[in-house]
Amino acid sequence: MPTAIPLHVNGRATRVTVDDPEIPLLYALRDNLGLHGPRFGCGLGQCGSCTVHLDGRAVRSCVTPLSAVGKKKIVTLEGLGTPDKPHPVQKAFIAEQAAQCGYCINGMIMQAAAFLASNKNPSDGQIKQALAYNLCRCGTHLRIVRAVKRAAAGV
Amino acid sequence: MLLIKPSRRDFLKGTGILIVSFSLPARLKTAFAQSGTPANTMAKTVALDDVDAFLAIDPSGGVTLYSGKVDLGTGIGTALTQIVAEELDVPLARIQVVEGDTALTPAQGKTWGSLSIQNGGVQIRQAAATARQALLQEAAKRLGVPVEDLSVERGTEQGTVRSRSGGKQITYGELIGGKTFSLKVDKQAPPKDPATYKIVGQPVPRFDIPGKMTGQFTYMQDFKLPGMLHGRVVRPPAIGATLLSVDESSVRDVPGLVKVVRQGNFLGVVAESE
Repeated sequence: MPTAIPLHVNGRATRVTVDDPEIPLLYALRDNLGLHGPRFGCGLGQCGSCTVHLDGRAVRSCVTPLSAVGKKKIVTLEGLGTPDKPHPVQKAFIAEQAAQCGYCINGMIMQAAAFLASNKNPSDGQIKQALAYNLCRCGTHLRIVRAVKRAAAGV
Repeated sequence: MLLIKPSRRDFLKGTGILIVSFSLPARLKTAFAQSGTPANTMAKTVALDDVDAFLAIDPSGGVTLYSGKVDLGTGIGTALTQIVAEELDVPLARIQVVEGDTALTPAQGKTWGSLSIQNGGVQIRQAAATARQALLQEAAKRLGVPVEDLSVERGTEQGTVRSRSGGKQITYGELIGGKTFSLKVDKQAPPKDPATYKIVGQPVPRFDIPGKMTGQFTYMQDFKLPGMLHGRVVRPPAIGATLLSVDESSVRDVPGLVKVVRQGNFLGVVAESE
C-alpha cells in the first residue's frame, strides 16, 4: 500500500510516497525526489557513490532503508552547494579538476566533507584512510587527495 | 535498467537530454529549439564530408559543434571546443557542443582507444578550417576587398572579420548566421600553424566538472523516459550455480510487477518502479 513518508532533504521538509518503506533511501532520493547527486554504484554499500549526509554523518544511502531515516536531516551533493555557490570541498575539487567520469565523485566529496568537519588538518595518510572505501576506477586519486588538502587549507 | 522504446519524437520533445551544452542556459534553449525539433532534425546533414555536419553558426555568432565523439569523462568535449575556438578565433564560451546524437552528429566512429582528438579532432579541425576559409572569402566579396587583406580578429564574441588596410569589418553572424555553409570539407583548407596557437595546448578547466561536482550533470543513469520500466537481475548465491526452480508466486504481490524473466540460468524481475 502506498505510504507517505516525511523527509527533511537539503533544508526542506518534503514527503515521498512509496509502496515499500524498506526501499533504500537512495531510490527515494533519486526516483521520487529527482536528485542526481547520490548515485547507484554497487547497491551493496561497497563503493560509496550513493553517499549522503544524515545529520552530518556520511552514510551509504543504497543500504539505508528509507524507514530508518526518521527525523534525521538529509543532505545530498546538491544540498552541499551549487555551481554558483559551491561548498568549500566542491570548490577545491573543481579547482583541482579532480574527476574523470565523475561517477564516484559524489561519494568522494560527501565522505570528504563529513571527514573534514571532524578533522580540520588531516595528513595525506588520514585522507587516504578516510576515503579508502570510496572506489574510483578512473584514477584521479592523487587529485582527489590534493583537493581534500586544498579544502582543509581553505585555499 | 530496461527501456520501453519511445518514439524519437517523444524522446527529443520531452527531454532535450541528448543535447550536451557547456555554455549559457539561454544558449542551450536556443540551440535546442533549433536542433531539437523533428523537422530540423531530419534536415540536418551528418555526412562526414559536409562542413554543416560539424558546425553551425547562429545570427549572434554563437557556434555549435556537432561531435560524433562522446565525452565519457576524458575531457574531449572541452578539448574539441578548444580546437574549434582556435580555428575560428571565437571565445570558448561562444561554442556549445552536441555529442553523439546519430540524427545530428557525424558518424566519426566509436569513442575509444584515445582516438577522439587525433582522429575526431582532426576531422573537426579540417571542417573548422574550411569554414574559416569560406567565411573569409565571403567577407572579401561583401566588403569588396581582396581576401589577403582580411583576417579574423582573435576572440571577439561575435566572430569578427576585419580588413587590415581599410578598417572595414563584418561579423560571422552577418556572413552566415543561421544559414548553412552547404560546403564540402576542403582537405586543402589550411588549418592554423600550431606555432600561433593561443587556445589549443593551454590547460583549460573542463566545462563538465562544476556540474559533476554539484549533482547537476545528467548521466545516462539519470534519464527518465516515458513508460520506463526497471529491471533487476536476481543473482545466484555462488558462481556456477544452476537455477533449478522459480516460485513466481513469491513476487506476485510486489506492487507494479510487470514480469519475471527466465532464460536458462538467468533470472530477472521487471517492475514499474526501481
